[in-house]
This record gives sequence, C-alpha cells and structure tokens, in this order.
Amino acid sequence: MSKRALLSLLVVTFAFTLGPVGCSDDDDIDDNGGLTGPITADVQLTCIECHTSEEALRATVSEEEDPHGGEGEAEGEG
Amino acid sequence: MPPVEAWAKVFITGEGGEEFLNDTEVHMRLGCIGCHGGNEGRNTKDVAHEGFDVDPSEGENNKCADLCHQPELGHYYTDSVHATQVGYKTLFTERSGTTIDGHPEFEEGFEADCSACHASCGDCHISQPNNVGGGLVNGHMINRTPDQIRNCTACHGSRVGDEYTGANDYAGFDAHYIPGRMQCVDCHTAQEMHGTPGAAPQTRYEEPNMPRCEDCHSDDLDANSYHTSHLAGNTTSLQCQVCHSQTYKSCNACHVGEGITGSSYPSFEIGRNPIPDLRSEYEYVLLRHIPIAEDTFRGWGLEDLENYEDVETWKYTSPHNIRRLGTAVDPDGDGTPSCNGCHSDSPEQDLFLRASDLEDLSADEQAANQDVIVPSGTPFSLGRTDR
Repeated sequence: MSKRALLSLLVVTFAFTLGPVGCSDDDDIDDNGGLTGPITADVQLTCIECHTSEEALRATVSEEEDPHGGEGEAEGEG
Repeated sequence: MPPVEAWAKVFITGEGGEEFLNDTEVHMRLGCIGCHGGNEGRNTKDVAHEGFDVDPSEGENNKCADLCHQPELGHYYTDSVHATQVGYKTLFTERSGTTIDGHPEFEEGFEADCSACHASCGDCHISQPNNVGGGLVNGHMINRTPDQIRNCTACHGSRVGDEYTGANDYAGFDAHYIPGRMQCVDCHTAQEMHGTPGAAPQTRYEEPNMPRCEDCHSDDLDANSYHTSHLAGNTTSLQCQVCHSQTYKSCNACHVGEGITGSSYPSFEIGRNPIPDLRSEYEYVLLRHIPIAEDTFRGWGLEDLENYEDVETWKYTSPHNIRRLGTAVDPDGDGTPSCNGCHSDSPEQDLFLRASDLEDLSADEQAANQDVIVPSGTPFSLGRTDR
C-alpha cells in the first residue's frame, strides 16, 4: 500500500472515529453507550440508559410529578 | 421513613440494580417494556412513557401472576387481606349497615382514603409501598424477602414497628427483636402474606396461616405452673400476650381525609375476648383502642355510623413487644414477678378494662364495649374464673 493510500485510509478511519456530529438522538451518548453532558430535560435515551444515570434522572424527573408524593402510614384495626 | 427524592425513587443502581439488569434469563428477559409498556428505543421521556404502567404488579390481572407466578400467586388478589383490604369493608358494613361496594360516593372515598394501604406484589418485593411514597428498595431487584424497614414497617410502623424495636419510651423492644436476626417474615410467612388459597378471610384473624406463638413454643405450653394454670384447657385461659406483652399504643379519633385527629397514648387493658369464634381458646385477651369514631366517615357524607354500638372499639390485639415478663406480671419492670396485677381485689395498678375506663366515651361507644369490659374486682379468684 502506498503512503498516499495509507494516509487516506487513516483520514477516513479518524473521521468515522469522531462519529456523526449533530445527530440529536446520539448527542448525549458516547461510543460505549455512556452519557456525555450536558443532559437536558428533552434528552433522548433508552429506558436503561436513563434509569441508570443519576444525571439523566435529575434532569428529567421533578418532585412535582412524583406520582406518590408525601408519606403516610397506616395499620388496620387491632 | 426517610424521604427519597423523586429521581432517586426510579434510579436503578447498586449491586441490586446490577444483578437485576444482568438477570437476562428470568426477569430482564422480559425487558423493561415487557412489564411496564411504553415505547422502545431512544426517546424523550414523554414519548418513552406513552402507555407506561408504573406498577404492572397491581390488580388481579397483574403481570407477575399472569406471566409466571399463577400457581402460587394467582389467588393473591382474592385471598390475601393485603390485597383485598376486605377487613376495612367488613367492619365498615358491620358499623354502618351499608356497603362500600355499590355506593359510588363510598367507593370514591375508599379509593382516595383507604386504598393506599393496599399492597401490590411490587409494594413488598420491589419498591417501598405507595403509601409511603414508593421508591426502588434495591435497584429494582425483585427481592424474594421484603425489606423489614422499607417494606413491612413502612406501613406497619406506628404500632407494630415501634413496639417491636422498642421505639416507644414506655416499653422495651420485643424479645424476638435482635437486629438482623428475627425478621417479620420469620413469623409472617409467604403463605400468610400471599393468602391461603380459597380461604378468602373477611378479617385478618380469619387467615388460616396467621402465626401462633405455639408454632415455635409448643414445648413451653406446660413448661411451668404459670402456663398450666393459665392456658386453654384449664380454669382460666389467657391469650399469651396477657402475661408476655408490655404496654402498647392505642389511638383515638381517625377521620377520612384528615387522619388521626385525636391522640395516641400508652395502654394495657385486659378484657373479655371479643372474637371467641376465631380464638375460642382464650377467655381473656389484651385489647387495643382503635381510632374509629361515630363520625369517622363524615368526609364521605356519612355523618354517623348507624350500628356503631354493635362492634367494640377496644379490639383484640397482638402487641409486638413480647418479654418473658410482661407488664401484667412485672408491672414495675424491675424483673420481679408479681401476681397482684390480676389476683387482687384492689390491685395497685388496675390492668382490666373497666366501665370506669369508658366514662369519657360517648354513650354509643360505651355500649359498643359492654361485652369486653371486666366487672369490678378481679375475675380471677386464684384458680377459679369468676364471671
């Protein structure tokens, strides 16, 4: 392989390594599936990606929407 | 229960989270959406949660029984009082003369004020109960054994939990309580919690698999003269807790939508057994005042319970603060046994529920408890029941 061909191959490989830029679905995901910041409330993630990320949950879950809210306690008769 | 931030309630983390996510042969084989619904792939939160079911273990057609656990759990929603809450409805009917089911205003009220005490499969095995705000207990791991603090006493804390752990300043912890040793589930088995197939109890004491002291202590029944002279088959039959419980908590005045509007207070009252059909072996038992009032359901538009005087408000109880020497036999708590708590016509400390204990109650409530009070003097004349 000539030096020119080798250089071209390296350039192409490097370009793919950088990954697509500007794809909204993957903006917050690195190559290993990990999150990269900053995470906003409209981040697009899979179930597991979101529910295993403290940062993603903090960005998307608000206290106001807590379906259970508050605390209670109860016991039956006797 | 310590408060948990909303985001943390759904955070799959820790060893439990890792174990759950790696459980690809059983529960994670279903995937998140297999149980909870929602949309596949990378989505915004709103899109991901379209059609989402926060608790797929809820209801008679829940995923747990429907997909896998039908043989052992298919009857949970018909036979377990944790699911049916039938005791609430039974006692409501006995006191009101009407029913919750079939009356939309009561059904709505029950849903709003009482149904939070209902437990789904997940309330015991995955999350803290809805009643205390939910939140994954162990990173979504589906725990075979419920967590004593974050599941059991999350609901049963103010009386059972505090009594068992000695959190009340007027009584010590239960002799069975050694942290990390005897847990709730050691007595309250899965068979009891999941309900006995076909039993469909109408109150909790009708559950056939409810634990009994003699399940473990059968060898102790005739171990000493105290037992042989006070247990069933002898002249006077006492519930075990009469001698082995410490002072426990009673409450006054609970109202739907408002909660406890009265007060709680330490109590120790021996009375006549109000459920002889269910516990025929006991003549005298401990009684706990429960916070039902004539107008408890005024928030549902029911100003008065028509048959309030028909059901006692000092109820059969099983305090969870057992000691070898309980309040009745060691009233000073100094380890010195005494018989005078019961066997005296003028005891220093009257341990019996008397008519005089009811004087501050309404006429209807006094009437409700006539069958459980003990007439003046001692009912026990040393070896002879005097009723």
